[in-house]
Order: sequence, then C-alpha cells, then structure tokens
Amino acid sequence: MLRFIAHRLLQAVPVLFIIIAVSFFMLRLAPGGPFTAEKAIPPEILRNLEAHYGLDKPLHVQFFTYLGKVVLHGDLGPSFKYSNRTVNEIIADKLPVSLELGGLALLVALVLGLTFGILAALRRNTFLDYLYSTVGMLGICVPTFVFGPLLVLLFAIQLGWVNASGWYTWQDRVLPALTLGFVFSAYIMRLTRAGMLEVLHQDYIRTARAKGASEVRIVLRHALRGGLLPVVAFLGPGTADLLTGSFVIETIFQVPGLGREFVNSAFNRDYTLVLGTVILFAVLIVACNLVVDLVQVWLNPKLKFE
Amino acid sequence: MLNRLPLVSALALLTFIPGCSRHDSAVGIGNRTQVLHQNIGAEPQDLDPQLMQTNAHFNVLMALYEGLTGYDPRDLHPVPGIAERWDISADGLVYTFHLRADARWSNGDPVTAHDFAFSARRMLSPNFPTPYKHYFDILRGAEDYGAGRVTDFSTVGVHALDARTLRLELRQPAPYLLFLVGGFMWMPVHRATVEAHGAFDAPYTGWASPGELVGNGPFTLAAWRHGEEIVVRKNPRYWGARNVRLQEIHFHLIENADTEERAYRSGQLHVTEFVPASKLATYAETAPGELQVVPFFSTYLYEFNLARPPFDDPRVRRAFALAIDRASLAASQSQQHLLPAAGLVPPGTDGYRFTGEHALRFDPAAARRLLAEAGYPDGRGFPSANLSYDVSARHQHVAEVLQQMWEKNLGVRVNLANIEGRVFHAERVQRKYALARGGWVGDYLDPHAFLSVHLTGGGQNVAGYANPEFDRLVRAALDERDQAARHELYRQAEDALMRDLPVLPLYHYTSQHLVAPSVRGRYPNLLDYHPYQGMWLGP
Repeated sequence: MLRFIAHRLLQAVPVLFIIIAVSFFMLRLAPGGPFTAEKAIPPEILRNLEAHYGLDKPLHVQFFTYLGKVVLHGDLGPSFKYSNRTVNEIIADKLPVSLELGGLALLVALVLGLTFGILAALRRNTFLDYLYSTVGMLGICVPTFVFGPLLVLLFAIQLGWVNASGWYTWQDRVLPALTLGFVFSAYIMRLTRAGMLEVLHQDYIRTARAKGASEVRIVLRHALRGGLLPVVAFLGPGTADLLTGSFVIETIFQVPGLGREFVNSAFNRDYTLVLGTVILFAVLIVACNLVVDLVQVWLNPKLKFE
Repeated sequence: MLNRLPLVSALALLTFIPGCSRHDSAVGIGNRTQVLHQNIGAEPQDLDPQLMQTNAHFNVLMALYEGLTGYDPRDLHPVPGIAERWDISADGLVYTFHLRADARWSNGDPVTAHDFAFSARRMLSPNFPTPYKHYFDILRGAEDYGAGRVTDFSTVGVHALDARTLRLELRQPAPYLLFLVGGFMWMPVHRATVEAHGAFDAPYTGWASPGELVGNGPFTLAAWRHGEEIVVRKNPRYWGARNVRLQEIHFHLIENADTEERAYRSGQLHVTEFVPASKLATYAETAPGELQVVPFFSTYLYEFNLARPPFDDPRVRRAFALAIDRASLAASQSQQHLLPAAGLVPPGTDGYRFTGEHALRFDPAAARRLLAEAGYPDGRGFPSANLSYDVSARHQHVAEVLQQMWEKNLGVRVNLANIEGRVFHAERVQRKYALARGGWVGDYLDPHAFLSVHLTGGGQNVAGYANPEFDRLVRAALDERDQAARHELYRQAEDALMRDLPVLPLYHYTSQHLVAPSVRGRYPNLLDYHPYQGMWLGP
C-alpha cells in the first residue's frame, strides 16, 4: 500500500507541472493585463508597475522564476488586485471559510443522500421511492441560484430567523450549507440507490437473509459496503469541489470564500492569484482522488493495490 | 429502526435552524446605536486616497480623511474643511488657505500645511502610480515635475508658508479649484505613517490598513474583513467630533445586486449601492420613499475610431448620431429615468445646459442624406463595422437597440462584439474597434470635468481627438471670471465638439439606491457624495 501511495504521489508531480505550465501560459496569452482599466494609466507609470512586478522580463524567465519560488519556498507571490497582500495570505484567509462551508455541506449531503438513497432502494417502486427519487431529481435540476434565494426568501425575509447574507455568526452558515449540500445530496441519493439496488440482488445478500440476519444488519453490514462504491468514486472529485468553494453559493450568500476569489481573479487578470488557486485546487483533487482509491480498495475486496 | 431513519435525519438537520424566532435586524440595532450599514459594492484595492483608481470609493474615503474643503451634503458646494477660510488673489491664480488650529490626525498630531505639501509631492512623484496626476497639473510647475523633467519640488506651486497657511499657485485660473481640493486626490496623508512603511512614493506598502492607518476624517478605520466589510468608528480627535452623531459605519462589500437587495429586505443594510433593474418597478410602486433614482453627473457614450473608415468621415459620424432616437432609447429603460443627452456635459452644473446648432437630435431624413453624401446611399457599400462593448446586460441592451435604429434609419447593420472586460479595455487602448462603449463620470461639478477630457493630447483622450479651436475655447473659459460669459465659452466649445463628434453621447445615467427611512441627513445629489458629518439614524 505504501508503494502504491508513493507511486501515485510521483505520478502527481508531472500532472501538477503540466497544470501550472498550461495555466501560466494561457493566462499570459490572454489579452489585457492586471493594470488594464477603463481609465488609461500613463505609459511611463505602467512601465514602472510592470518592472516592479517583474512583468517586463521574458515570459519563460518569469515562468521559471515563479516555479522556483513555488517549489522551493511555497511562495505564491504578491496579488495584483489586492496589492499589499500576498496570495499565500489570501488563501490562508479564505480557504478556512471554504473548508467550513464545504465540510458542512458535505455533512448535509451525506446525511440526506445516504439516508434517502438507502431507503429508496429498500422500498423500491413504492410511493416512498418515487417521492425520494423525484425530490432527488429536483435537487439535480434546480440550480443553486434558484434554490438559494428561495431559502433566503422563506427563512431570512419572511420568517426573519437568519440573515440573508454574510458570514458572521454560526446562523449564517445554515442556508449556504443547506443549499450547497442539497444539490450534492441529490447526486449521492441517486448513486446510493443505484448502488444498493445492484448489491441487494447479489447472492451473498440472499445468503445473509437465508442465515436469518436482521434487515438492519444486512443493510448496514453487508449491502452498504458494496453499495457505496459508486458514491465513493463520486465523492473524490466531489469533495475537492465542495471544499474549494463555490462561486455561485458565495455570491448568493456573500460568503468570503475562495471560490469567488478564483473566478474574480481570472476577470481581474490577477495572474498570481489565479495560479495560486489553480495549484491549490489541483493538489486537493489529486489528494482526494488518492484517498478515494484507498477507500475503494478497502471497500471492494475484488480490488488490490497494484 | 430503518423506518425511523428519515426522522433522525430530519431532526439532525433541524438542529441547524437556530432559535426559530425573528431576530433583531442589524438595521434595527443600528438605529438605536447610531451604527450605519451601507453597501459599497466591490472591495477597494487600498484605502490610500491617493491610489484610488476610480471615484467609486469616495464615500469610504470621506469617512477617513478630509481635504482643505468639504461639501455641503445637499448641493455639494464647497464648505470649509481642514481650511477654515481662504483668500483668492484678484487674478484668480493664488489661493491662500488658512488651516484650523484644532485639526488633528487620528493619532493626535496636528494637521499642518506641510502635510498637504507632502501629499502633493507624493502624488506628483513620477514613481507614484495614480491615474489622477493630471488633476494637479493646474498647479504651476506640476506637469514638469510630474513627468520628471524637473526634480526640484520647490518649483511646484504648493507652498506651506507656515504650519497653518498653505499657498497654491495656479498656472491658469481654475474656477472649480475649491471643489477640487475637497476631492479624494487632494486628501492629505500622514507623512510619518507613510514613511514608516516604505519610500514616500512607494505604492501599496500597507500603511492604510487597520491598526496602521492614520487619517484626519470624522472616522477611523476599525476593521477590514476582506470580502465582508470595512468598519470605521467615530474619531474623537476630529475637530468637528461633537457634531458627528454616527458612532460606526459598516461598509459592506456585497458585489451582487440581487444579494444586496435581499440583504436590504432582511434588514441588514440601511443603504444599498445598486438596485436590480428587475426590482425598480416594484420599489417605485410599493416603497417609493425608499427608492432613490436621481440624475448622476455622468454620460453614457460611444467612442468612434477616428483613425480609419468609415468613421474617419465626420458626415458618417453625424449620420449615425442623427439616426438615434434617444428618447425611445431612454424609454426602453424607463424605470431608470435616464436623461437623453443633447451633448457631452450633463445638465446641472450651476445652471449650465448645452444648447446649440449641433445639439444632438433625432432626424432620420438628415441622417440618410449625410450618409448618401458620404458615399453610402441607403447604407449601400457600407463597410463592415464592429460595435464593441464589455460584457454587461445594460451594454448589451443599448447596443441591440442602437443596432436596430441604425438598421432601420440608415440601412446599415453594425456587428455587435460582446467582449470580456479586460480584453475590451486592452483593445480599446489599441483602437481595435469601429465603435466602442465608453462613459465618463465628472469628478468635480464643472463642465470642465467633461470637456477637458477631449483636449489635444489629454491622458484620457483615447480617441485621439485634436481641435485647436476647441482647446482654445476650453482654456479661455478658465480665464473668464464672469459665469455667464464662461458658460457661453463652454457652450461654444461643446458645440464644436458635437460638430466633430469624436464621441457619441447617448444619455446621462442616474444613481440608484435603496435608503431606509431611518437614515437622516443624507441627500440625493449629482455626484452621489454623502458626507457623514451631518448624517444620523432616526427611529
């Protein structure tokens, strides 16, 4: 298993290098720069600014300088938009918010998705199954920018229980986490249902039943382990996605997370901030996929570390 | 047990929902404690007044700093600020400001004339990256110093005669100077604080952050939570502190207009930065007292590419101008109360209103005639032309309406190019367009704020317009002491500009806000500036 992990980590190195290189050059080839604005800046001042940030050097020199700083010092450079803050500071400031929101949303998604997925599978083709499946389908179809404001209308404006936006008190976490979690729960619910249905028809479940095991034991001990495989595969990239923030949720609820910074940094041509967030997301996705692979081997006796 | 699972999950989720009772809103608490919640939209890059890139954040700066003059909250005429009085020489070239004895920085240091001289030197330093340097060019010697041609700052017309007397020497009269010196580009910075963080003219050294920033305004910076809010607290050392009633202002940083509107409705904001276009009609009907839509000192326009066909021909430009029905364009966005533009300068500056032979009007027959004269009868043979604009629903709407008007009235179909913001601005500077979306917001209440943009060689004169007659009229207006005669010179200058049409004004914007009824002492005005000294919150 250690060999497997080491092997996968080694594989990640060229992947990350390619991601950094492609993002770096794509970004720099896009027209407009961090200092492009509606009000034109005098050319001599523009030159001063570019020299200050090293943007006047040849592109490949800039690339290797940047790469060197990232690899050797973990230094992601200064932000262009927030001129007296570094990208490391911005990520340190915003990532915890995204982790908190993503973590809560994941909790909501798992609690709702697994529960109703299992129940739907057990009560296949009954009214409950249809009800859960319909709600699940709705969760997939209704976009967050509709579902979120609906929750705000009800809980913040009509009932006045929570704030419509912001990230100050723990109550402010409720609606964003529910909105983001609900969408994911719908996917998890449908995957759980499908996975469970497949497993519940397997011979070993019939054997368990024949032995007289209780329904709870059959479901939780025997079926769930196999039935969760598709969910686990989905959770790899899904978790990375949740933890790195959501532009839409953060905009609807005014959450100061990393997702909004990522999207805005691209509009702002904040070169270092775009690259910093891209690297962070890439590392998270690689890490989540690795964890998922480990979990899958643990869950599925047919798989081995190879 | 399995049957009880949904119940368990539902209960688990219910624990999320707190209290289950209507909580006291930020606005309600704020009304009792004099804490104002105002949204300002996008986050400022820095709170250094000299590094602002636009005037969008002036309302924050006005809380933290104060210039030589301030503004009356109703009509924005200059009132004493840090200067308690001033003398103007008979020729209008020398302004002597007498500073208040009790003006203090937030750390207790006295605000002196030397602070203003230092701030001017910083602003004019060739290393200092500000797009507003040209606002100091009115000072004698400032242009040469700013461009680095002269290195002796004593040649520039800013002199601290003593701690409480500041003399400004102008290279030509500027009737708007008292307004200008109240603006953010003229706000003073605290020398010791700036220099403690780096070279005096080094940008973005972080001195303007919580715990570091020393200002001289009615409030001090208490907190800056990125992506959330900037909090300022009443400054007890401010010379007029006994009249300041607000205790705190929370400047929220909500960028999305719909999110902001929901926050307003749930009682989190006293004042919004925008009103979603889709909500204007509803508020006009249900809460007209909370909706403020008032003229804004700005012009929405298109820029012609004067360097290449077809718009190098003034007849084509005029034809395009005459083929626009501005009234119906404004009516198509009726809730915004837009004012169709007759010229470049919005009305409202001391009674100046542009009229003249070349005032913009709708005359499709004359437009077709001019286009035929230019060699494109009924639009035949008209080259392919792009109308470029940066992505936004408003720009898209205006472009589509004009595309139809030109097609109907001229027989010409322009191509719409909807371009991402930075790409658009980069292409605009390189003049990669036939027609481009543009606009201008005046920084001071004088026609000069708009007309000076089109002076030959001006920094923001992207179209490259050059007309010596226009330059002469605009400069002559500055020398004229009599207001009626000055307005006449501006009228002639604007008429020349509208004859040549380097830009095509369409309408004047409005500023739009939702303002809670408890906000007192805040008045709608042309520049959307709202001094906080006299603002307070009622029940």
